[in-house]
Amino acid sequence: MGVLVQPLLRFGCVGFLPPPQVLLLWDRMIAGDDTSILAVAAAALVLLHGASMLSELKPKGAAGGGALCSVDSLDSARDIMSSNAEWVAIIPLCQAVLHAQTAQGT
Amino acid sequence: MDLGASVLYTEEELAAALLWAAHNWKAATAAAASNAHTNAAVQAAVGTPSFQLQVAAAAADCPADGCVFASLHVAHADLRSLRATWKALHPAGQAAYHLGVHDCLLAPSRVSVDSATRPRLWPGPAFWSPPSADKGGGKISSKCRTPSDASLTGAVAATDGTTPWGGAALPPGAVEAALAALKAGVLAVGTESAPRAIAAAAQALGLQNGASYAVLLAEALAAQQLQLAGPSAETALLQLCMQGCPAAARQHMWWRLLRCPSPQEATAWMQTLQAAAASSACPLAPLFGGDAEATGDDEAFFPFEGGLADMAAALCYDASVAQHCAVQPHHWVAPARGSGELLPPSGVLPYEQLSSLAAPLTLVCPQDTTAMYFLWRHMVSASLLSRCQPSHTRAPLCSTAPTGAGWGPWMAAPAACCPSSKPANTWCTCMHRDCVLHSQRWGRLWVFWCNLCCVLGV
Repeated sequence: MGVLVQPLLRFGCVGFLPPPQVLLLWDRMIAGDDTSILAVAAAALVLLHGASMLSELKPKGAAGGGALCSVDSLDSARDIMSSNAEWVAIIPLCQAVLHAQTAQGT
Repeated sequence: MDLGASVLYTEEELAAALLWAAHNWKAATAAAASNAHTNAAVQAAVGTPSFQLQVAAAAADCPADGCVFASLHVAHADLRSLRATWKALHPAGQAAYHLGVHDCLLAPSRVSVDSATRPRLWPGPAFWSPPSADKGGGKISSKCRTPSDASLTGAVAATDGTTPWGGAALPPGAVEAALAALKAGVLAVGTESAPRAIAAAAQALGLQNGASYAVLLAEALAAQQLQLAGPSAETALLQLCMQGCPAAARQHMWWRLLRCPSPQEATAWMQTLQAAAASSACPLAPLFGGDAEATGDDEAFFPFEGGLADMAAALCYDASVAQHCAVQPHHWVAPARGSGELLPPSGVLPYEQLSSLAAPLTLVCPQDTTAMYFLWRHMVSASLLSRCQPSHTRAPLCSTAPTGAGWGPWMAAPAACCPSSKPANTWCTCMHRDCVLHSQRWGRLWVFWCNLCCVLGV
């Protein structure tokens, strides 16, 4: 999963979200002087597409999954994330992730 | 001073907010013109009579009017209810993007501004939580699991004369009159009577309550146009940026928040870089150019391929990048030639998809390559590349210079110093070595160029 999320963090979600959504994310990054929002966004996207992506990431021939996965499956998982980006509103997704953490904490 | 959603705003505040819209009229018009379906999206998502009236009036005259009026009207709505029904307004996202309505819908109520200290920009989940955090967040979280969820894709357009969030629509006659007065007031900007006329018209439109976002815009405008200095101006900009910049104001806000040089200095420096690119041929320049070309193939950014190439070339030759960085150059960047000259002059290694970090900036200032470049240099190289640093320093707020020990696999562009204070125009371009040679293709190219440089003695 780290291999999948790394491009999200490295490129500031460029290519994984529509440009307006990227800019909204970068607004927070600049204002907060903190890139943590990228991690939150990555977590939100993984949660959003989790089920479908995990099915793609499961190594061939392995029943329970493993640490390694093929390049093809990684690309497929990225395609899932990118192809469904049109309707994603990243800021409320980030809020949802933070709210969920709050609820679990309380 | 708490400016929560329940606070009534004064006429002066509303006038200032609307004056902001007036001052940015040209940019807002350009934004609306570039997005032809703006008004249609607003109308489809918010199908109330008042909205339809505004949008129709706007479409008949000036598309930007509809956007601005719509944004202010949305700002009038109950933010708490809007958060719960954000999905209903999602189709209006494109329109909202241009004027920042999205964050009016989604942002929490405004926090107190303490001018003596830096605002708590990341104060934790409480900041993000809506007033009804026990329900609002859970609803969103539970309904956005899968893309096939119908609740996410369907727009809920009210047609019974009420807004989707339950507010009563304004009488059509009143809206017409108020719009006419508002337009007259906006057109008379600069005269003594304009603020009062605008404020009165805004009040007739029901904007006297809950227009916190508009007030934030006004503060940003004041900070931007009056060139205010000090923590209060920066605080206003930061607050607004944290809630999302309107597209029309994003360039100016980022420019100031990132402490970019003045436009005159930026233009002069850009000309210097272009001259350097024309006079000297850095062997690594094709790598920058090739990366920009690959990024320009993206369907979202292909109109800006030329701008991306210019930015990439400028970054290759910009020696000031190296001068402002915090760490010592990697031996790949500074070959052992005894001259101290860097290759490339900027000290930034052109790893794959480096230009993709600049691509969204083409939408921030699509016609100003200089502004694009400086935003890229200051923000992207600082905030994003420096993310790879273990010490998590970043510029222009780079706080401490990392020591040489412990950098291990981390590579960085060279730096002379990085004071412990937070000077302007200080940034870091640090990256993990895995980022540099991201692919085998680029690795081969890099080796080829290094070998070529050694053979030719350059």
